[in-house]
Amino acid sequence: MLFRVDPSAPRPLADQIAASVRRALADGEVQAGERLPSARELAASLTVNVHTVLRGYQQLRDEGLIELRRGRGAVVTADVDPARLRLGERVAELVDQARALGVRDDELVGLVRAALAGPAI
Amino acid sequence: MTRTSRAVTRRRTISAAGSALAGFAVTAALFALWHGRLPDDVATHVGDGGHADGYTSRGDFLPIAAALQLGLGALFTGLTWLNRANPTGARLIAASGTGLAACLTYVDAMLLYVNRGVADAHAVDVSPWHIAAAVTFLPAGFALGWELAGPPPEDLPGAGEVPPAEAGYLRARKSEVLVWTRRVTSPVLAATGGVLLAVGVVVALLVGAAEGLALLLTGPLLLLFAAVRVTVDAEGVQVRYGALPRPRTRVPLARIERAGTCDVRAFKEFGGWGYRVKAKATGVVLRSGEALELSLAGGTRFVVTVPDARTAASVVNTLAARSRSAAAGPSRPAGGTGAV
Repeated sequence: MLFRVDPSAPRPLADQIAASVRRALADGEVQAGERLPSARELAASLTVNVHTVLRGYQQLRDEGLIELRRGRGAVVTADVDPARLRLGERVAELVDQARALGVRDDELVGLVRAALAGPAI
Repeated sequence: MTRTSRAVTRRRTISAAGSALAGFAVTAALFALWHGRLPDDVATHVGDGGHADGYTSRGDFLPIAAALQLGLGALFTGLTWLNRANPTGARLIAASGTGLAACLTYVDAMLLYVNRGVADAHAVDVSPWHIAAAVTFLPAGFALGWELAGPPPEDLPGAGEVPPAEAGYLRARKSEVLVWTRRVTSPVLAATGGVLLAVGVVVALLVGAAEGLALLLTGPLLLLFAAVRVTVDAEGVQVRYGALPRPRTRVPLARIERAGTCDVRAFKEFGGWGYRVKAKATGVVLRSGEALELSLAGGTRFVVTVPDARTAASVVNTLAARSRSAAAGPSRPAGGTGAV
């Protein structure tokens, strides 16, 4: 799995680390039961703080994508739906894009509401 | 003073040859010492329950010991020399030679020891602990040989040019930190290691701890190689075995000319699974099939079987190009397919 982290990007590093794992899960590249690299190893490779990696892993745990166990590290859980993950990633991209364009949060929500209410094409 | 390749090769061939010679010298000295007290037929094979069941005439003992110890010594010395272009491989081979020399020396010395002073070799009994000790001399000798063979040379050639565009790059922003990592498991090694371990436990319980020791040592060794993690980062390519931080294999970016993929036939190309050493290639082969192939400066290759090797190779090429352009000012391969 490929981790891409851009320190110059506005998105927090932990989010970017979590997004890399989500992308690998969404692509089916990483499957249930697969072990993620240990936070220490990954932090050294990415040249980021180990707590940054752990924050990223904790996000994934809170989303139910991985289990964090002492001694065993991070393991991908069995019930991961790649399609839903892809949707989540696209929403995250949408938010990034909106922020980059200077669109306010309530404006974005309005745009999404309008799209949801609008006629199906 | 820098360690030159020539000096390292000399040290390793001497350590492989020297350990065999030293081992045989010990056997010969003990034979000379106890010669008068040995029976006409010397017990040289131990069967069930530690009772002697194979014999060699006293006159044949030393020539056979010489053929074994010096013959294997010559073999390992030759292999060390042939693999001199492969620094870690040659170190492993030289260390294995020393380990085997230590084990054989223990066996020969032990045989002479148990035979001395007996009138009839049929009465010779060998304690299972001697066998256990002989087995542990193998890793102990290996560890000694590893130190004797010494670290790799410091004058290894560095790769000059950035990898060519056709080798494949990753489309990435320059500010992006890239890390590719993947765990690879080998069903063959896991199954074999597990079976050996299980048999070892059964043998240890039913027959004796000493008899099961060899299996109990080999099983975990195979299991160690049954699951590896391959990581590509700004340092280079790293392979970690099992869950432990060591041992590990590292190939620095500076030595990588280019990365690509290949299709490995484990048995045909590398003669089996695990950490494989050839004259011009080193392989971490966990199965046949897709593999990341690194072409190194100096004409050797490093191969590790991983899925999605194409992505891994593109990350290696991208990072190698970055490190070289950082060292020698901005330069990009002509017609590169993506931003470096």
